[in-house]
Amino acid sequence: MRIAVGLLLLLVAALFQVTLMMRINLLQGSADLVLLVLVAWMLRPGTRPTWIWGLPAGLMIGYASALPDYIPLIGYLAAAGICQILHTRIWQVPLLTMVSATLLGTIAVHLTTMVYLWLSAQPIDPVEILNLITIPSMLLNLILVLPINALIGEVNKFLSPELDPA
Amino acid sequence: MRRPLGENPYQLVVLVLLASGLLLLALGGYLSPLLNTVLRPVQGVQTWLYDRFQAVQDFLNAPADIARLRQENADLQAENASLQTEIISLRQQVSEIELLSALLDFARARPENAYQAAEVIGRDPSPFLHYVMINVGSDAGIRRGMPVVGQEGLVGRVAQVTANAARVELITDPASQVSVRLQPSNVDGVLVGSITGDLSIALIPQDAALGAGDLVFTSGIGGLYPGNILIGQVSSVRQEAQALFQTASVQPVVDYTRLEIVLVITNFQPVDLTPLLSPEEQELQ
Repeated sequence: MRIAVGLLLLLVAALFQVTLMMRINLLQGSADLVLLVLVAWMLRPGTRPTWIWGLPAGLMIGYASALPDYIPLIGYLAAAGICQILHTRIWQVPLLTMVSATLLGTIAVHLTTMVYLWLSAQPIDPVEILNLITIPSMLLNLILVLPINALIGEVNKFLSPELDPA
Repeated sequence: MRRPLGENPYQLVVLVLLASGLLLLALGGYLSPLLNTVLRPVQGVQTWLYDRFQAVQDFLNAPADIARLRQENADLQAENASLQTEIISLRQQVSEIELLSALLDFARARPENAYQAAEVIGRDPSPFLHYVMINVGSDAGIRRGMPVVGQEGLVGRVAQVTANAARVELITDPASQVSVRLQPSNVDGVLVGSITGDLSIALIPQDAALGAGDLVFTSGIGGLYPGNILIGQVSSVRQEAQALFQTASVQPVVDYTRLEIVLVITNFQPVDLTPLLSPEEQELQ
């Protein structure tokens, strides 16, 4: 049940990402709703925080993106892995874990794409990318961390009230 | 015993004269100050009585009125909401009609091309790429490589097709390259996109005379796009003494962040140059 709900949440996030979120830009950056839902869902009590959650997220974005499928897959697996590691290290402070995982996850996804673009001989300027895409994207993600966390918390509370009393 | 009033002829004459006198005085306006003085307190009392009566009547009828007013208010609010929705819907329709009308003008200006209108239904989820998804695919005759235009000018070309949807690579994408010609300088160059979405023209010969304000059109060279489709205007030119070529920045005419409806040119067959390329170049392709 939890797996099905998790997959459904990621699917809805991917749809919103493609149709809505890419229209809301800060400079050239945009919020990564799939990453936010992935991190928020992985860190809820009752969900096993395993890097495997990166697999459906990466496949969905890989399907929707013009990037080769394996690039988002690697990026989101890395983000889920980071989330798993952080969860074991700073599990006492879920919000801090979520913020850290979101920031590091954004960097992981962007870094993977940058490496791919660099390997495919496309002109990239790392400083420009950092200033115009990565930092604005991180800022937008940080703005959305709390609402997404609250939303996922409500879903989790609906699923297992005994696990998520907050 | 007194005789009744009127039976005495003198009394009657006096009364008639008195009445006539009063009437004449009244008609002449001489009695107005007197009448005002007498009637003002009476009018005040009358007004006071009427107001109190009205207040009592309002108080007695109030519950029925409030219920009726509430009902009317609710009805009006519902009607207002319905009209607001209709206004929004009509405004959207007007906007769509204007857009379609502009697209139709564009299509009429180029009757040699066949067009398929398509709605933009999504964007690439990666901020590094500039692709949009459209709601027509191979079922509507869309094929890979077909050019896509908007009401103002060139948008991109179809990069990937499924049965009911297609992915369009915008000319702002970093992997996009378009052969262009500048007017009026009649200089050729290659328009390239970038990760940030900025457009620039590379490979412009050093001796070419061009300047800000030159219009940028597709040249048709390379066979990927038809010729003479407007792309934008040169905003600045960068010329370095040691460089082999000049470069120019381009301000596009199409707002790629607000694409809603586009036209796919369905009768244009892009030329496949792959067999002419070396294996290394084919790998890069």
